[in-house]
Order: sequence, then C-alpha cells, then structure tokens
Amino acid sequence: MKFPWRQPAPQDGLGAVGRSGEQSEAAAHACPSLVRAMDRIFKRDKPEILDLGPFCGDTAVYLADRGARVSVTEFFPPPAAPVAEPGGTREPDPSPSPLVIDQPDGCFDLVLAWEHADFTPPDRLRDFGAEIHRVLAVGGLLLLFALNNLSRAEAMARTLGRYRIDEDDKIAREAVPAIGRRRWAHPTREIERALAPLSIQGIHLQRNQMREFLALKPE
Amino acid sequence: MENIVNIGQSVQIKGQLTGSEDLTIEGMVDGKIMVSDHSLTIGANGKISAEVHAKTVVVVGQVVGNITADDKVEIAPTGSVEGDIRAPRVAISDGARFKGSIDMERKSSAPAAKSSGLATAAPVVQDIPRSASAAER
Repeated sequence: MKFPWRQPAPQDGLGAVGRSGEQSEAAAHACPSLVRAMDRIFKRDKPEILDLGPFCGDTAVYLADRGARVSVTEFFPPPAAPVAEPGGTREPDPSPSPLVIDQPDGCFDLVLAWEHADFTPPDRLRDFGAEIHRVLAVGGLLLLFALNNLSRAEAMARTLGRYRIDEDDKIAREAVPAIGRRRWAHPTREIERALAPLSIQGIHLQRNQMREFLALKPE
Repeated sequence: MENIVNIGQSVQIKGQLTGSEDLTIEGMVDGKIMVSDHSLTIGANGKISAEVHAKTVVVVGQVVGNITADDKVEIAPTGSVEGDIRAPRVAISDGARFKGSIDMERKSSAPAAKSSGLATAAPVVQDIPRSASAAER
C-alpha cells in the first residue's frame, strides 16, 4: 500500500487557501459556543452585539440580518508595560497606556472578542476582563477565543484571526498578519480569573488548539 | 433618461443638500444630505461629514456621519464609514473600513448568499452556492 508523500491539508482551521497574498482563508468549522450564544441572544427582540474586530463585513451583515443591532469597533490591546531593568536607572511606566473599549456601559447582549485576549499582555488581562464586563449588559454573553498552545498551532500564533460567520454553527477563520504584536497563550485559570466577575458557561477546545470561552454577566 | 448630478472634486458644501435626482459627490460636504427617493454615490474622492438620507447609498470614498437608506447601503472596498447605518439591505466589501453600528429591518427569510465578495443580505439576491461564491474570489 502506497502512502502519499505529502500530508493532506489540515481541516482544522489552519488550511491556507489564499484569497490574496496577505490573507488566507480556512475552511468553515463548527463553533459550539457561538451556537449557544446565538440561541440565547436571539430569543430577545433586538439584541445588541459588539464585534471587536478585526472587521469582517460578512459577519456584521449576517448578524444584523438575523435581527441584531451590530456595533463594530476595532480594539487594539495595549502593549506590555515596560519592566524596570535590574540595576538600571529606568523606572517602570507609572501610567501604562489605557485599555479602553470605545463603547458605552452595559448595553451589549453579546460581545465577540475573538482572539484579542491572546494579544493582551498577562499584566493587562484583568483590565481587559473588566472592560468587557463594563460594556456587557446584565445577562449578556462574551465569546472569546484563546490559543491553548502556541507551539502546536504555530501558523495561527503568528496571525490574528478575522472571523466570518457563515451560519450560526459555522465560522471560518481568515488570518490577518499581526505585525509587531506579541501573542500569549494564557493559562485557562488566568483567563478565568481575568473574567472573574463573569460566569464561565463553557470552555470548548477545538481540534486546532483554540479554546472557546463563553461567559455570562450575571445579575 | 434619468438625471445624475455630479458634485465635482473641487466643490465644498457646508449646510443642507437636498435633491430629487441621483447624486454623485466627489467633493466635500459638511452638514446634511437628503435625496430621499434617489441614489447617492460618494465617489472615491468624496469626503462627507454629514447625516445622509437617500434611497440607495454607495460609499466609495469617506463618510463620517449616520447613513439612513430606504433601500440599500453599499460600501465598496475603498469605502470608509464612521457612523451608524440603518437600511433594509447592507453590503460591505472586504477591505472596506467601518466603525459604528448596523441596523437592518428584521426579515423572516434566511440571510442571503454572498456574491462577488460582497456581504449582502438582500432577500432578492439569487442564491449562489457557497462553493461557487468562494471560487469567484
């Protein structure tokens, strides 16, 4: 029996079928947490959804056509705070750059934070969680993706995901270059701590080593 | 033959712009634009800082302000919108820049298929198989 010399293209979200030189498109895959979130929020009359980007027009239009009011804002996590050099004269920055989501308090039924936690430095992860908590309405949900292991998903580690929702249970990740942005693989317990005011409803590990977190803002 | 009014690149308008013809803007408008039963095109050189109301709005240039359309809003790959969009149909091309919110009328039909790289949600758009749509890209 002969085996093909080349391995078949991965079907786990890392496949790179280029739309253009700087972008790659992966096959659509299931996202159980998104299904749960959609089931829940679309029971409301006109849910408010916040997409933190990178912006995908298809996703915004899909959600708006389902009956939601979709707000889009490009969120850029701040860089890591500079550390004081041992024996050096440089002091750590007393006022690190603010971590702000440019949206009003407590008005979103669903926040799509995609992979932004991975690009948030460990020392700012709690600020990130607090900001998500601020913009969520009571009973609102957060959908967050975080890589479980950088070395095992090397191609993803170098890029930021732009997500295209095809159906409620199908999303596709398109890689956009994350130039000059460092990625962290935060331990699950650190993410849970950072989101602490929120109640984790489920963590799902995808085959491509991406963890899906679904969290609820309790009353 | 329907008239189309073209506001040239060197024209700057401050105030309210109303009309009953299709309008293409390549210049700068600051204020309010009302062409209720007609289409409005913000050309590649157009820079709008205004509330916009038209039947159809096509953005190829830049708009800062809320857009309300009775039929459709379309943002081209070079288009940039900062503001809220309210229309029954919205199409946003890959590459377009957008910051704001989208509010579409609730429809009972499922979201329509995409065509030519545009995200459309028009109930009248023919259903193109996703495989064919992807191949076009």
